[in-house]
Amino acid sequence: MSQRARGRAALGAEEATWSRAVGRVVVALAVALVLFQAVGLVRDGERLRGLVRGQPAPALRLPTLAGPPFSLEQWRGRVVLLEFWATWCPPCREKLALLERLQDELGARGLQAVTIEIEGNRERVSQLVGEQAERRRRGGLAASAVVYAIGTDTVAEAYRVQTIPQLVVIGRRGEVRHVQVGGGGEDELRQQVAQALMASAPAGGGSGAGATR
Amino acid sequence: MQGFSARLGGMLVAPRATLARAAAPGARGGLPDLWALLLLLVAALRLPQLVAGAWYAIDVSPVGGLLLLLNLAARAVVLPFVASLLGGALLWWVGQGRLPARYADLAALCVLPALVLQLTVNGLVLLAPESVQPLARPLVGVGGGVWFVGLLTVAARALRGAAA
Repeated sequence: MSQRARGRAALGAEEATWSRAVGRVVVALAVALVLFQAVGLVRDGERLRGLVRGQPAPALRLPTLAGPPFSLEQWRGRVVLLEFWATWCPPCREKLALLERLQDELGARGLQAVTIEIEGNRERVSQLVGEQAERRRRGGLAASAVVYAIGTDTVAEAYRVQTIPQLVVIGRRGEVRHVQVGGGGEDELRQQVAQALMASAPAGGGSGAGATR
Repeated sequence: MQGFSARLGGMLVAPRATLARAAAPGARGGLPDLWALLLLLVAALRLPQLVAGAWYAIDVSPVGGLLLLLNLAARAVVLPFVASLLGGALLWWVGQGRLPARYADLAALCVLPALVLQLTVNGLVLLAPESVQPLARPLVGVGGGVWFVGLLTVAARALRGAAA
């Protein structure tokens, strides 16, 4: 074997050793991260069980498309219907129209619908809401009372949003009452909102139903 | 013959030689390595979401839980596989059909370093303050994309050289 060939072979062997070592470091890093997350899961498992019905809804304070910032606290005493969505998601946009219908129908009984776009895409939200408002004008309807808030990943994380659209019904005392994920399910949502409105309705008004569960 | 860790490390420290070995007749790896690394990546970075999806499927709604898990899998898998298929098509065009079974494998190997970058950056971000986290996505997106394109160019040049 010539000196050059021996040199190449030695270089190849060294390179193979390095490659294996680096590859193993990467695999070890991945395994370490799995363990790190697993420890977190064991320590804080309840947090991962999503939003727990009956527990207080995480606090929210977000900028809105028009008007003052939105805060969950300000709607205490009303039933709040939250939608987490993104502008590129067609089922989410269908839900926006549903939220406006529910707000029109049930706003006087104590419902406040709030949409939270989770990617901070204010311009596109403004455009979509403008189109929706134009459709309402053409249909002879007044401007919608739905609040359009602009959120971030952090907000989505606080509400354990794994997929969109995610709808959350929050009761009058600020407790999580129902979580709905994905498209469809209008009947179920209406039923849950109605139940939330009836439960602990403020005495002498607001809900109009006057019933408690 | 190289194993998974040798090919993975090889794509980081000696990509030319690793790609040349992977393009040789009878070589293995590529797409299986991509699968293996994606599994590791999802387990390492998305374990809480996997558990949450499983919990949701069992405790709340099987369909909703399945949707969560599918969404999670799609977000992790689609982009690397589309990249390896597109890269494979490019290598097929450059290589003039000499290694029809290996093009997607070679492109898949080119995706591995971008996934290692994603694993490293996101792993660090898990330990970093929240204010640093928004920097991770552009860093991984741009860095990983540039790295993949660079490696694909190396693979294409090697194939073109072999074809000439």
